[in-house]
Amino acid sequence: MSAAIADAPQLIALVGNPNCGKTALFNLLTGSRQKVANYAGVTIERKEGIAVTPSGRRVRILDLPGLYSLEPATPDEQVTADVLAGQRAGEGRPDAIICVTDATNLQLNLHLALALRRLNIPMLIALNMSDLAQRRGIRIDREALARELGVPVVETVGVRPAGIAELLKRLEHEWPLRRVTPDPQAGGAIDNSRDHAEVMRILTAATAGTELADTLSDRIDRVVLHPVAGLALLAVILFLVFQAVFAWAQWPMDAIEAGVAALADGLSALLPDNALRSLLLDGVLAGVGSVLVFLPQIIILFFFILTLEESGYLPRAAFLLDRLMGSIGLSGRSFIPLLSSFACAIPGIMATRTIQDPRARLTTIMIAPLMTCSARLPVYALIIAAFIPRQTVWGVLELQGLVLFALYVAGVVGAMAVAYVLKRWERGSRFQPLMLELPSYHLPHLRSLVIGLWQRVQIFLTRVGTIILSLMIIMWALSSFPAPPDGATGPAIQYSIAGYIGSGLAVLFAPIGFNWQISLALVPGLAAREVAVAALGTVYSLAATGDEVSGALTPLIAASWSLPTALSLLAWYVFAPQCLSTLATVKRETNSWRYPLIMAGYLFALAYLASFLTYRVALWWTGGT
Amino acid sequence: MSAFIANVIVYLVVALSVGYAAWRLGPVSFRRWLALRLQRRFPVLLRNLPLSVGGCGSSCGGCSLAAKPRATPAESRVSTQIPIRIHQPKR
Repeated sequence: MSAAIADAPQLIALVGNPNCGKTALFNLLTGSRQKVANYAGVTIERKEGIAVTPSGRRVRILDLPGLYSLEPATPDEQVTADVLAGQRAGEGRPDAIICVTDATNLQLNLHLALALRRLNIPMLIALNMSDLAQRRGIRIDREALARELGVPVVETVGVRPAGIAELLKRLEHEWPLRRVTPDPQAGGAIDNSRDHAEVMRILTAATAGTELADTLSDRIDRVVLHPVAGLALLAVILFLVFQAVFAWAQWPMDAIEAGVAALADGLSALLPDNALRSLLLDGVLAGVGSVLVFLPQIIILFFFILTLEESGYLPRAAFLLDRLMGSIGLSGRSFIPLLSSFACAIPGIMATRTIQDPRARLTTIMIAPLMTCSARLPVYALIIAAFIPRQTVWGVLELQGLVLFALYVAGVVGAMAVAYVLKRWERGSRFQPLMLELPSYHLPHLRSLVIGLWQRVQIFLTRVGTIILSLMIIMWALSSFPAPPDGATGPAIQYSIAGYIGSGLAVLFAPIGFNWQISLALVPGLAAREVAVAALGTVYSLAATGDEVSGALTPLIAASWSLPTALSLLAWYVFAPQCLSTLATVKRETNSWRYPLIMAGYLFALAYLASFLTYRVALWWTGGT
Repeated sequence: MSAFIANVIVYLVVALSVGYAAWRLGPVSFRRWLALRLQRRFPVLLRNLPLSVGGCGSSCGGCSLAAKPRATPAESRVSTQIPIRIHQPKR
């Protein structure tokens, strides 16, 4: 092993502008599967992985949030600035920097490269998206760029491993990379006009050809960013997503349901009538099976979310909605965190670190749980399937899809109303103009899409097989013990611990139409919302008397709930208090228990009020009392 | 299978589930406290006991994937994570 290789760097930081492909490179270098999307602000935390160099040496790679300059404006940029300055607790400065630059936007990216050069840390430039630059007619003379910058330059394509081997090889064999001594005339200080002149000089020396004036992205943007047509298109896209969730998922859901039923029949025939049989049939299969059946709908929802993320459409949607969001005290920058909250409120709340204004950030955190996270989907889908008939409206639209769309819209409208109230309350907040880089459109990569969906399947199945399974076993135990007294006439569950808890809670929830089974299911639902569906499955399975074998949950609740109760539960879940993990995340992000407590309180009050009104109006409408 | 064996299996499964749920849903400080003690007592057996669960582990994605790799108590003592706080504007 040569001396250079022996001294190769131990800690390498990937640094660059937002959305230049740092995380895609990180994934290729380390074999990780961190989230990648075609918009700025996806990475908001320091992430670390191990890369193996051609000589077999292991080096630590840091993936850092993107930034435009070394003067951080947001908490996520501060993370990068701190790492580069060696100010992170327990961590020294990186031994080397890979400055990831977007070859299609070199002028902007070189400003950061110059600033990084001043840090006097050995550096290498990864000229990323070089394939896209070539297609656009941008020719970059790599040797000239390396000469002008005084650092090695390697061409990479973030989604292909081609340039990665060369990147690692250069890093290892050219080590120690040359340190660039700060310009004595500049004295290391930041001088924007001087930097700009330097960038233009480098560009003149290293680039040839001009970007095609009218790219495909420009032509698409004429429609997508149109103030009227663009908004209409956004509404149509979202609408189609929810239609597809119901229209495409039916046969795989039927198949899963049939599989669970067959397994239950087999176990029922195989096992004698004892506690173990009840645990497996009423606890495990009835509980877990009732959640598992919603896997196809979750896959379809994420297929669309991932496709939109990869295509580059989402920042355009943020741009379109900026005016609307400004009117309720938010900026377009809140759009991406709120959109992330449709998957799960936790990454959405963490993504608020990209928001500069603390008040706008706090408001976004407070309303993020009102975006309909995917854990609500099983609850919505269960009730819709039980109470909304499968019929088409105007010949083409699925009524069930329409209702689901309306529920998502209700969450958004509720969030806007809360944001508006907070704006009136927080009079000191000021309007934050939206500065957003619009990435080029591209077709989603099939591999990324398949990996992304597979990860969602893994996460869902892991969750079903771990926390949901364990909670359902506990729920079964609480619902089965103690045994009913001699001479008891009702189902055994009524005399169990769970039965008593449910009856106690039902007093609180009776005014909004919830029976004791629903009231009981809300408790484990605090761990995660879809657990409520599994809990209902277990409770109704155990409530089946005599030789009656419980079937799928949907027909059971259709037979035992009234329409006002079902609508009231839907309204509850539009605003339902968050899962405990979300509240813990809010506590961590705000460094105080004050905000999670306020959040839990206002969401509970909102959910109760919405359910009460829905239940009473539905009772009046259906002629009930 | 006799009713006795069936009952023993059921009690074991329920006890394991209670332990697992308490671990998963309990506060991080409790997990850390318990893990440190368990690892002192069974250093080889529980060397890789995870202290933090990735995100909320829900079906939603994102946060679970972004979770840090498993950390041992020794690593957690030199954790480099600093909570990012909302800075109130100076008045």
